[in-house]
Order: sequence, then C-alpha cells, then structure tokens
Amino acid sequence: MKVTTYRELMAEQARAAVRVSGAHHSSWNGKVGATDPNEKIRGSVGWDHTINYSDELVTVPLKDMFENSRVYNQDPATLRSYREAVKTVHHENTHALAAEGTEHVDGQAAYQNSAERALEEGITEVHSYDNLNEYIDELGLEEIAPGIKSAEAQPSYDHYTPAARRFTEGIGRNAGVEPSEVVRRLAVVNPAEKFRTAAEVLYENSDLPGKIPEQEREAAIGRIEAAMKPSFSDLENLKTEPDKEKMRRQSAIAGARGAQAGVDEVKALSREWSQPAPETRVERGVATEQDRSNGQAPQESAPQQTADGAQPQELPPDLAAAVHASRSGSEPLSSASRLSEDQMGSRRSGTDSSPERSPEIQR
Amino acid sequence: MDYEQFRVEHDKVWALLGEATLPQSLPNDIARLKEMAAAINDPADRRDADNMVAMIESIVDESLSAKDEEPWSDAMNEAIRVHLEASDDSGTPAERIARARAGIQAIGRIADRAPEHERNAIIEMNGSLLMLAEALEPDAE
Repeated sequence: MKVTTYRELMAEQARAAVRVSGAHHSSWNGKVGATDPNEKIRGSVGWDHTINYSDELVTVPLKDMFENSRVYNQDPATLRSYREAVKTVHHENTHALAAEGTEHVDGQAAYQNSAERALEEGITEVHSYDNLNEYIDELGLEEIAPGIKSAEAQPSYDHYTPAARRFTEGIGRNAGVEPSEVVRRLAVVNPAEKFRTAAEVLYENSDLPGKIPEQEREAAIGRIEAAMKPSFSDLENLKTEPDKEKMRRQSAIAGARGAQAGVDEVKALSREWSQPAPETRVERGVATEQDRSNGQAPQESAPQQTADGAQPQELPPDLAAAVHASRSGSEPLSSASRLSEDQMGSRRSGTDSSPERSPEIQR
Repeated sequence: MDYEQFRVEHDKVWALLGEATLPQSLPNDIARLKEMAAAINDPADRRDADNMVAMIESIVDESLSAKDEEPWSDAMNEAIRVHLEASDDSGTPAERIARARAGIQAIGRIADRAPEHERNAIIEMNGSLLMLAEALEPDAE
C-alpha cells in the first residue's frame, strides 16, 4: 500500500515488512512509542511487541519527509536522514517478523545469548538493508521523497553482518539455495529459531531425509544447530581486533566456520546412518513403517505462545481501526505471494512445517 | 585424491586467514586447493571441497573490500568495541543490565563526536543493547 502521511506509514509499517519478506506475520501489537530521550536509541522492539522510535532521530525526519512531500532536488543530507529513518523502521519491523504459531517474544530468552543475538542482529540488518528499496517501493516513498532510493545510508552492525553473510552463503551454497533466500528464511523467524531454521535448510537439502526416520529428524537437526552456534559466540572476541579490515575478516571467518560446522555435522550424520548395525537397521525400518502407517507427523510442534491481543492504545481512532482491521485479516493484501518450491530451494513437499510459506500477513 | 587429504591441506590454508596480515602466498595456495578439489573422485566430496575453496575466496574478498573502503573513524572502532563489551554474556542478569545500559550511554557519547555519515550507524547499535537489557529484566527481578 502506498502511504501519503506519517500516520499511514506507521499503520502500514509491519504489513509492508511482511510483504517484502514473505513472513507469516508480524508480532507488532499496533502500538508506537518513543524511546527514552535520555538514551540515544533510534528504534527498538519491546518484548511486549511495541515498537519505539526516537522522536529526534526517526519520527521528526519521517514527519518532515511527508511535510515536504513530492519536493524534488532535496539536498543529500536531508534525503539521507529520510532514508536512515526508513531504514530504522524496516530494521525494527524485521525484528518483529514471526513464523506461524510463534511470536517475537518467544525469542526473549534466546536473545540473552551472544550467539543468537549476533545472528539475530546480523540477519536483521542484512535483510533490512539489502531490501530497503523494496520496502520503500512497497510504501510508495520514492514518490513522497524523490531520490530517497538512491540516497546514502550507512549499514550498521558491521561486526556482525560479515558473519551473517558468510554463514548464509555457506548454508546456501551447500544446500543449493540462494544466500539471499537463506537470509530471508532466517529473517522471518524469531531469535530462538534462526539457527534451527538454518539447520533445517541444510538437513532438508542433504541426503539425510532419505536416511533418517522421521522420529529422529528433530534430534538430527538439533545436532546440526548445536554445531553451528559456538562460532557465533566467538564474535565477542572481536573487541580485540584493531581495525575495520581485521574485524570484518574475523567476523566473516566466524560465520563461515559456523556454516562449515553445520555441513560437517550433516556429513557425520550421513555416515552414521549409512552403516547401521543389523539389529538397528531392523528397528529403524520398523519405526519408519510405523510412522507411515500411523500417519504421524513427528515434527516438533512450534511454541504456541500467542500475543496478548493488545489493541492499539496510542494511535488515533482511525489508525487504530486500520490496525485492527489488518490484524483481523479483513484486509487481504494482493501483493503477498507464495514462493514456489523452486524458489524455496527445498526438497520438501506436502506437509510443511516451514513457518514462512503462508502468504497470510497478520493474524 | 580423497576428501580427507584435501581437508588436511584446506585446513592449513584456512589457518592463514586468521593471520594479522593475509600472506602473499594465498592466491597460489587457493589455486593449489582448487586443483586438489578437482581431483577428488567422489562427486559429493568434490562438491563440498569446491564449496570450501569458494568460501576461502569469499573471506579474501571480504578483506579486500574492507581495505578498499574508507576506514572506520576512531569513533566507530570505539563504538563497536563498547558494543561488544556491553553485550558480554558474563555476570548476573542485574550486572548485565547495568553493563548494557552503561554501554547505551557510552555509545551515545561516542556518536556525538562521530563523523556525521557514521553517526546513525553507531546509534543503531544501541537498539540491540536495549533489547538485551529488556530481555534480562524478568530474570533480574
């Protein structure tokens, strides 16, 4: 949807992020708050799913952008302030993306861990930065601020993004999936699910589904996930690196090591399941048959915690109504599209636990 | 050539990527690894080996592009170090919250003296420190 006012932008921010990413939904609760003016924070997503922006650094430039609507030839510094404000909006709304049956808050405990936090911030920044012009197009902001799509805006988290890029490159190359698609799949799940989603991509595009019975699938994916995390914990050690080149190189090495550890674990699992002891082979064969006959779907059920259903409290009534309408699903979005199996790069078909397949955007 | 032999040689080259300065010999080392990978008989192992060599090249590219770009200002270098220290996993939840909050203040002060083009990228990092502090709050109560 094209927006023409600041209020419309705030109302549409989450749905546009969902459309750009193909996520199942956004956890945003419809509330927009202000960050503490005593702390320099451009934006944040609270664990209650409120999104907060700095009045000075984000809200004011965004309001200015609409007040100067359709003004051409604005100076580069002004356009940069607009682009950076929209980048913050996209970054925070990317944090809020969630898979079916899950919410952003389900990642609260995981976010306390350095590995999950580094991957969350690295992936969120890579996705929101690389797809910023798509987000701008989705909202029609080039028409509001001509030149915003080609304005400069510095990327952030430069100590995490090389790790995120090489990690997704390594996963993608081994799985036969475009790295940008791996980034997208990780961006649309909460912080607790990112490593697991990466492990699933490796697993599903390996020979393991043909070797490992369904009831062992979750444990196998858990092993791949566990193998990948330690290298991201090592990113804390980057503080001893003296400059940009060495910090980015070491970050890239950490991300590549994480992906390789996952690939090595897949190979180890493949070897383990290639030559089972005769009695084990029988047991596995029987178990697989039982699964088929019972029609079991032994995949781990996703966390069922749901949002508190909080309604907008700080938005004007018309905006609150728009948000409510979007969350109740009464406003389908024609631009949401389902990715084909080819685009997903997965061998899977039929029953599908992948959380981001549905084009539904808000529950 | 089998995969294990390749892996031994790969790991030697991989270790060079962590050196303070990337050695001049690296292009030759990569070319040698490519030849070894191409000589692996098993197609799946050969593909894995090719992927590993490609990743070494990506890391070299990361290094080269970082060198080509404008270096970070002292403010950015300091802000990233402060961010990493403020994000440290050690300590009680209360200690970690205090550390993250102190990091937010420190990064705010660093941003005030940072070059304008880097200022917002520096401040952006405070978002994760706030999310961390708020994630820890239930455990600190």
